[in-house]
Amino acid sequence: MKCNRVRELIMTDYRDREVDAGAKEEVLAHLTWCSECRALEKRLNLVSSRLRSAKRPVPPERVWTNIRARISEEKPAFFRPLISPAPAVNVLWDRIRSLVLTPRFLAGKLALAAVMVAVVIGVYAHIQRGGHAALFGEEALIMTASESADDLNYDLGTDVEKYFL
Amino acid sequence: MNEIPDDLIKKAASGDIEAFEEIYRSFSAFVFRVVLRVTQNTHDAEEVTQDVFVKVFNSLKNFGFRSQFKTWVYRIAVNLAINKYKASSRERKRNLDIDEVGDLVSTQEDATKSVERQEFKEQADILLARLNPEMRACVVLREMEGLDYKEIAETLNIPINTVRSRLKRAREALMAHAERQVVKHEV
Repeated sequence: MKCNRVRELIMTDYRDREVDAGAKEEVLAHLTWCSECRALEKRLNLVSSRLRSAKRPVPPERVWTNIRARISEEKPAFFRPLISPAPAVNVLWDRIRSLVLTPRFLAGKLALAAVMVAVVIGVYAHIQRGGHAALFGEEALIMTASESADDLNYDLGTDVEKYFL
Repeated sequence: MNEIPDDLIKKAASGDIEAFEEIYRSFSAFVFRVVLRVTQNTHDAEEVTQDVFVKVFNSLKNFGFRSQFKTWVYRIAVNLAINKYKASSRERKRNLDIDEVGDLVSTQEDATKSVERQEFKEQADILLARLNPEMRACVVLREMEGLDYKEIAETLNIPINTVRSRLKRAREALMAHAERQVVKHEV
């Protein structure tokens, strides 16, 4: 393996343990006789050890306190039952809530919603047909035609419109 | 870090604060450390950590279990940290422009203070400050948090080859800076 390739690997995959065993052996063999590549690895180790020796701080407790306060403020209404339910009702409430809110079976939920909407529209249309049956058929056409004819009597007040009308 | 059980995520998604606190306890140290290294400012890091977990909580119901939960949280953390760093940098630059016009006398005094601050700063932060936030995030995830290339690529939403090239360029820049520092001390 040539120096250029070894240096490339030292800066990336070899250093980060992303090389296979064969390539690792080749780099190691190269490093035994190439002092320049060894020097590069040493310089990189130095930088790396500075980064790795950094402290590992944890967030202060006030961070969680603030998060909790913000969540409570922003929590949408559907997360909160209007009245505190009894334990048995609570279980049912949790099940309904998880059924509606989780993204699982989304296609099924959408299909069910579509069927429900179709049923409501169907019932509504049926009621409408019963009350205004006369509007569906010949009379409706006559009514539409006469409404259109009424429109022709409007004077729109421009020469072009007078010309065409 | 172990993957969070699906049941716990579902409970938190339905608004269970105790379940969400458990998730917070599992991820907060990692999130805070990464955000702190990227933003380079403790106050900003606390603020961004809060934003990350509020965002995670509000988005839990949309989490589709298609990606790993921890990768999803890391991605939110890194994105918000980079955005915060860029916004703060713009703000600092604006303030600096105003100061340059209004207060030329205090320049020497500020420079001394800056050097003092540098001395108290960790070596790691001085090195990381040489990198742009995208490269910095890459180096922090690899060198300080030990993520592999695949995890870094998923977290930053970039190809593995981009991870490789960012790490290489970042290391070259860090080595060059470290060598300049050695020469300066010797002089």
